[in-house]
Amino acid sequence: MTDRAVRAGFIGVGMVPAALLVVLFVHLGAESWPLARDLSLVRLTGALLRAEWSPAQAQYGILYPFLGTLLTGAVALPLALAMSVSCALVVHYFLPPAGSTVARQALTILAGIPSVLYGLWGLTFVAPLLATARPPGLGLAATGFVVAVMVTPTMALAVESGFFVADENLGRAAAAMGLGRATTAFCVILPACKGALVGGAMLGLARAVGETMVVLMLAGNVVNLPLGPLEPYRTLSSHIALEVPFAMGGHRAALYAAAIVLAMTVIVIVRVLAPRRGSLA
Amino acid sequence: MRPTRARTRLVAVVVMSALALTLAGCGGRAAQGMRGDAARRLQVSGSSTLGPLVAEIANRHEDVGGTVRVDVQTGGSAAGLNQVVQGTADIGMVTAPLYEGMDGVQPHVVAVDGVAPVVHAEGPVQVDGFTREELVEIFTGGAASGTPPGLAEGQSYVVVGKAAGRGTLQVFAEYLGVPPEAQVADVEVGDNSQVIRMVSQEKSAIGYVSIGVALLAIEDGAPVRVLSVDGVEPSAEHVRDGLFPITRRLELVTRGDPDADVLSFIDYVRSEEHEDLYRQFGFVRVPSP
Repeated sequence: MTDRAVRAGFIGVGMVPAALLVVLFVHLGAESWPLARDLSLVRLTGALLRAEWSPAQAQYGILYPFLGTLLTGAVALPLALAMSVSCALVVHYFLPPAGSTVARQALTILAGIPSVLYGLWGLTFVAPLLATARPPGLGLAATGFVVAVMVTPTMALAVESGFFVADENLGRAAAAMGLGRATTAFCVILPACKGALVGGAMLGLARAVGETMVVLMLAGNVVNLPLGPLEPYRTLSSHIALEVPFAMGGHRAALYAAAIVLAMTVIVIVRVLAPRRGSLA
Repeated sequence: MRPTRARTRLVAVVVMSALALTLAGCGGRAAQGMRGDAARRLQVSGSSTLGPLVAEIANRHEDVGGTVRVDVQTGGSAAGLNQVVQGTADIGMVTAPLYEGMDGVQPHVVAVDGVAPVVHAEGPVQVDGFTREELVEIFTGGAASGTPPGLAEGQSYVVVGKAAGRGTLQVFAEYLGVPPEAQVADVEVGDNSQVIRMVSQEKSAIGYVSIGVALLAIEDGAPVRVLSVDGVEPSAEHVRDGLFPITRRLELVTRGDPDADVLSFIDYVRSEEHEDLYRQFGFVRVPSP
């Protein structure tokens, strides 16, 4: 086993994620090709970015599910940021050490809980609560809130790891200047952690945008533009999940095109928000 | 940046890994097709109306020592039909003639069933049934203007619709005289059981399901009430006698002529020894021709 062989092997395996990305896009492109075959790229985009979704009449407008995806992210992200930053601050600075450890472990467990369980919780507690305002309580409010709760643990842990680094660089200086705990946390550490915050936001937003199970259970599943917090809607992910089992021909190709749009949305999010040095701190 | 040798090599590695992964995927599928299964498994997939009945019959099939294993899954009539056409399922369960216009799909009718509106047992609905016009108004968004049929002033329904690709939606829409896309719902669900669940949980909900599924749910204690259509009460007898206005054939479909195992299971499903199961599920069994 020569050094060169081992090195080549590791490089090969390390390239698998990049290779998978290529395979994914080639597959998506191949399956949606029937839709693009007779149209130019501009006309294809025009055909897709339309409100009318009616496969029986060969209308494949995915505008409403696309807006649904963006709206879900737009609602979930501020909520999740607020909750995760507060959570990280409390866990790191305002809990006693024992409480801090327990809280961190709880967050780690919560981060690993499958999305379907969050969906069930939403169906059992959140939707009935919202239903008192307007039955059946499904829509942007329920979906955005539960998705926010779902991504908060991961984001909180990412932000808190930024605090550890900032502590090392700035914590002692702040203490030397006689700053109290709250002042240090809010005025010194938090501003210094912008990179971790942005990285955490990227993680959370990407996951929120791709979430399918919670949306299937809490969004109402109607192709519709949700003008209010309690109106039913779909996201690109739930739209694909609902229709792909029985889609054939052009209908199926349109769903694969929707998958490409979703993938590109995630890519744009990651490219725009990715921290410069590739780490989360 | 000028393409250096290192960069070229990197791109080459990525492309080769991608090709390797693709080929690996294709190889798997080919191998699966060639493998001969010792114990044959039949894949039955489709409508949530037929699913529970066929699953029960499949259990009996196992109990009497059938050599073939039967797996039943539901995902809707169109999904089942799709799988049969693509070859991933041996038998499809459909409750609407969605296969019309497709060559090579053979339907085998097993029962007849009706579709009726359901509401909560203690809900605000003051009537025992609706006419076709009233149903059109309720389910196509016409009820947005003024008070919907069956309710007092100021009340409104939570309309529970079925997702596209469901046979029950197809049949109901055909009866209403509108295309399935014309459905305007506050929430769309898939299986019949999900409609029952939604209506049980929400007093002002209204939906539509298979009569058999609804009556069975009521027997199991679900707080729902089935309504009559055009004055005809929803019962298996009225469906059998052709009096109920919304009926459909429940069918098992195959791609082309069914092979021996598939045919034997289809005949088993249609045999009269399961009459009790058909009655229990509220369907009208259609004997084999």
